[in-house]
Amino acid sequence: MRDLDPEVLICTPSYALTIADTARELGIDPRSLPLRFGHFGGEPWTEDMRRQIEDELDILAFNNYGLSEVIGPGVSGECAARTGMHLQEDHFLVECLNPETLEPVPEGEPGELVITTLTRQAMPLLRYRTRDIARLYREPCACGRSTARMSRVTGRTDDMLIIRGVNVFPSQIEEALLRVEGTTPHYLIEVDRPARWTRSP
Amino acid sequence: MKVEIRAELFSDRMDRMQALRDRIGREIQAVANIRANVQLVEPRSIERFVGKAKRVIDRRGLSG
Repeated sequence: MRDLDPEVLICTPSYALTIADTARELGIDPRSLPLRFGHFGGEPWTEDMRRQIEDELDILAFNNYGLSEVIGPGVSGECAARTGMHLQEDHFLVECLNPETLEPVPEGEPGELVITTLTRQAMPLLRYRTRDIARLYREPCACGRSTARMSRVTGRTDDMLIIRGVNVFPSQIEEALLRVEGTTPHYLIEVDRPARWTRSP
Repeated sequence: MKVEIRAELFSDRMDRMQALRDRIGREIQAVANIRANVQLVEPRSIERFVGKAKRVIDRRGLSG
């Protein structure tokens, strides 16, 4: 970064913190790097983690959504208002469906994002099931753009843990964790069966 | 569940560490209604990832 003078960083939020850690290990103050903005996505993250990244790297951090199967980052992204990610609706038709029934969920309710590409050549996708869970809404944004916006991805249909019948997303645990002063966003959830626990049907 | 805590809080004051652990346990119980066994670990002791972070190890499948 010292050599190339980048102003924008695009990566996963956890990797942004790894970069900050590594800089400090090398004796470089990460806040002194030329970075001004970051677009982060690829894994769930929270507002607390945003504040931490902004503080450690001295940048403005924006949420960005995309998936390799579609185009990578940029299917949607936050504007300066940072109240949801604007979907690039000229290029993608995005539906929000109940993953069980495949019926649309009411606007503003969480559901699985299903994406159809409108302009992509060579490898179009029709109603591609992302497994990503988010909410869509169409209220006008303070920035004036008229596209639908999506919330953060709160989880994936396949990363939900069912613990004693309770649905738990790792992002919920992260949120709880970061409410406690002194913790860091580095954690590992280990799920075991209690040794004495006999399996019920 | 393993949680890294900030270096300045990693102390030999067992009562403080215990209080922090209890607090984390309560917050998790509040959002997920599960009792987690919380283990505080030193900064940088959880593996870092170049790509997406791995946050969950589910060993339940192994024991069948």
